[in-house]
Amino acid sequence: MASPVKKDKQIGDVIIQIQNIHKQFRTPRGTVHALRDVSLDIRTGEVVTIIGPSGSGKSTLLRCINRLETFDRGDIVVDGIPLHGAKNINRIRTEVGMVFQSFNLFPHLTVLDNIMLAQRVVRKRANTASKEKAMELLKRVGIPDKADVHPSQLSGGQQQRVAIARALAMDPKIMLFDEPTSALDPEMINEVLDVMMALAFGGMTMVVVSHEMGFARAASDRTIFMDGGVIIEENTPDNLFDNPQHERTKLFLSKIL
Amino acid sequence: MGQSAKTNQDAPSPVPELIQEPPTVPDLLFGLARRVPWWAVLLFLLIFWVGVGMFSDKNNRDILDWLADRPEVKTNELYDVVYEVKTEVLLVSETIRVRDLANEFTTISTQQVVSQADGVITCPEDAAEGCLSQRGVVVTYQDFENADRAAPDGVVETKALRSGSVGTLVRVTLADGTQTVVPPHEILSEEEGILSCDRVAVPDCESPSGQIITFNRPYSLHQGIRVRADAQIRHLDDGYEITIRPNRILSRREGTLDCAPDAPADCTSIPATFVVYPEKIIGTELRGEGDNDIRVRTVEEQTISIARNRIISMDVGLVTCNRSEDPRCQDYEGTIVSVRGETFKGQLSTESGSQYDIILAGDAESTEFERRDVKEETRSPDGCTATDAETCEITITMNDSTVAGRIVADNDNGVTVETVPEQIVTLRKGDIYSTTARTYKTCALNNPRGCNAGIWLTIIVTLSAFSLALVIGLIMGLCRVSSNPILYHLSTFYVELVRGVPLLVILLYFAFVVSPQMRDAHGIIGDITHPIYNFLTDIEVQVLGNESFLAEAVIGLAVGYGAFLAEVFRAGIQSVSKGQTEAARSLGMSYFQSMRHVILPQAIRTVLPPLGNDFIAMLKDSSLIAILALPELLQQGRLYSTRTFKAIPAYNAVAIFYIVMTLSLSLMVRAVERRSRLP
Repeated sequence: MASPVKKDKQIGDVIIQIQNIHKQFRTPRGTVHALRDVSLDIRTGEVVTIIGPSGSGKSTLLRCINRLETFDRGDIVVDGIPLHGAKNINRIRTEVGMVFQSFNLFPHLTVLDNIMLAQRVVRKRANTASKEKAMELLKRVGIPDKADVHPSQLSGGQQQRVAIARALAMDPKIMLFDEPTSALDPEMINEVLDVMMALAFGGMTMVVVSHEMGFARAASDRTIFMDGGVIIEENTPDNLFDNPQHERTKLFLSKIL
Repeated sequence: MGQSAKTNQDAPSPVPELIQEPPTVPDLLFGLARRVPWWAVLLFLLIFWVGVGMFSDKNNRDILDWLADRPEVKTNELYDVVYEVKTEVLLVSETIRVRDLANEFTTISTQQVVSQADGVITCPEDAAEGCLSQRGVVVTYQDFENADRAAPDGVVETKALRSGSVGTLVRVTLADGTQTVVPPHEILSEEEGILSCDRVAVPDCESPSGQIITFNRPYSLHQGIRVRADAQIRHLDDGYEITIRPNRILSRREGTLDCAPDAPADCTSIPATFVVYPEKIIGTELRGEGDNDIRVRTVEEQTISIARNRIISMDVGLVTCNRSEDPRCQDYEGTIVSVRGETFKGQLSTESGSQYDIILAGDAESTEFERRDVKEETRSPDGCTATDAETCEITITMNDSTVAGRIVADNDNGVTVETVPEQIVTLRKGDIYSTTARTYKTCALNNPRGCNAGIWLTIIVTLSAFSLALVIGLIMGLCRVSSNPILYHLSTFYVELVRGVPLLVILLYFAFVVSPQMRDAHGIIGDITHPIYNFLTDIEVQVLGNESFLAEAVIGLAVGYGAFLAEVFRAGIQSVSKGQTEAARSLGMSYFQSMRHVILPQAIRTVLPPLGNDFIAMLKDSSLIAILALPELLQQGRLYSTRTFKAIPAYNAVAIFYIVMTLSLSLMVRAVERRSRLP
């Protein structure tokens, strides 16, 4: 799976600046401190993989970047706009595409309409322009023949590829992936990873929460290991996987590899 | 690979090709029959059997007319309208009623008015105790009655007829008939002549002649607060006089009042003021013929006096109206007078199969009589004909007739009966100032808006109340899932409150508590509620033709069902997974965009079956509004049953109407559900 193609892209300026953010969930059984003083910079064109055990706060961190989750303290600056108290969060969200673990396609719309909807109502594109864009993206993810079917008639891998196309249709500067392959059958994982890989090599800024070591090694520039709401270790994927510095990282890697 | 290669050799393929053939008619029927559930077929058959059994009897069939509002195929009775038609009339007088500081009211003519302006009248220093200064439109006017003769504010040269004397004073009669006394020093001149009377005030007045005195009539200026203003007007064609408010006058014109053709020779044309005002004409619009005209049938009372010696009998009874002319007219308790036909005597002039022409005694010309109206005739000499020129005397007695209506006078001379015949008026469209208060008349295919009783009212009420309930339910349902605590708690309060009160109580509450309170509210609240109340009343008048509890019933049903629908919508919205909102929001859609394009389309598919159930339940619950005396299906059935004591056909028919509607709806809901199901 690991692509032999060498990365050929430019790492640019910082586009996401996470500054000492804290996040607490208040539940009836007590308060969970999901993120404790997390700081991280991500540059344009960079592909960052976040790994960690469940409950480590990696998904929460990802969802904070487009404020699907609010944070209590600190700030996140996306493309020069601080999210804390941002007036027009919808404008930032159009610049940040997101792909979910459970696809979250709109079941009442066809594949084509799924990709066209946000283009029309948010980007205010004309019907023809948004249709053209949708068909082009469907070709890119390899399922142009499925344009007129409903999501429930697709396999999991195809659905996730439609979800990626839907996010790309907004021409985002950043793509967030929240465990995009965890809900898929093993034989469908690759078709999704291939699309992501192509995207990564195309120079897209990506933050990926995933346990796909192959993808991390092949496509990502940096891998971050999180546990208990803090970043434990941060390194290039090869160094992190082959030569972990931290005891907690070693323990975790020993269990999943 | 080898296997597939082998398969390719087995040509032609053993799998038969799918051939798309158009479905045949039996196929379609079978498909349709399979979709209609067996219980529906059974029920429809049962209803058909009961219906045919019951209504094949002609005696039982009129209940159907009651429940279906006597529908007709075609009618030319469209609706009742109030037209305001620009009509030119003679302005007889304009008066102002004023109130002075002593709270005394005086009516004065506008000719006496010197000035009118907003202001205050203050109490003089020597005023009685309790005098309060008054604010309003202050009218300063010439007061002749209470003039200070010693120091008048002014004099008007006046002509009057001498009618006597009191000591040194001269008693005179003014042109308007009032009398006054004049001291000798005010008299300017006296001569023989005619005092021309005011033909504007009294159309057929006679000008008296005698000694005409011209004198200076003194007046004092008085002040009062204007209370109201009136204008007395007269229609020149029929002499009909009414009083209107001057602000209804559209335009004024100075002209001359000409003499009638039969006026005495000394009559002269006199100056007069003519005004145009919007005259109200209420009637039923008939199918018009011209582009510029509208034909309206108005109902106008007519009084008929009958001499006592012609009355055969007088009975109290039901005055029946002509249903073929006006299917909705109401019979009323009145008096039916049988009248002996009049007898006419005269010379037979000509005679035909259907007519007599008779020169009545004392008349110069002949009068026509229809032969069918004549009960008996005698001729002298016996058997003479019209050819026996100027010798054939004939006496005819007309048929007895009946006059039905209300007795307005009953004395020694006879009785006067007021009947209500019809008149057809043609209005020019250009003269119509405004058209208000349409009430649709006969229920017919070309006038479906006239269908407003029985099953039609049930349908109208259910559809409008359910639409309103959908709006209320959707808004409240959205509030129920809102993160805004105020909206959430308000909507929860509404839902819990309304769900805890029986629908019947809600209906009665709206009819007898909310509605009267809205009508009678004072102050700022009244300023808000009065326009709403009036608006709703206007709608009621347009739908049912009179004020009723229609709006209260619709709003009551909608508010009652809104709570249930709010819960349905809340459940539907919450049934859509949170990931859908997140996906929509992550694409940059706003809260409302994601609701509109993503959440609600999915939620509505989920809630269609419960919505359909609630719609059917509301159709049935619309029978509760019978308690507000609205003529819907159940109420019409009850009325019929209590009037005729035919309870079995009445309630059978009501039940059949309801079940046919609910059953069809239930099948429709199933079909819609099947259509909207996602693949």
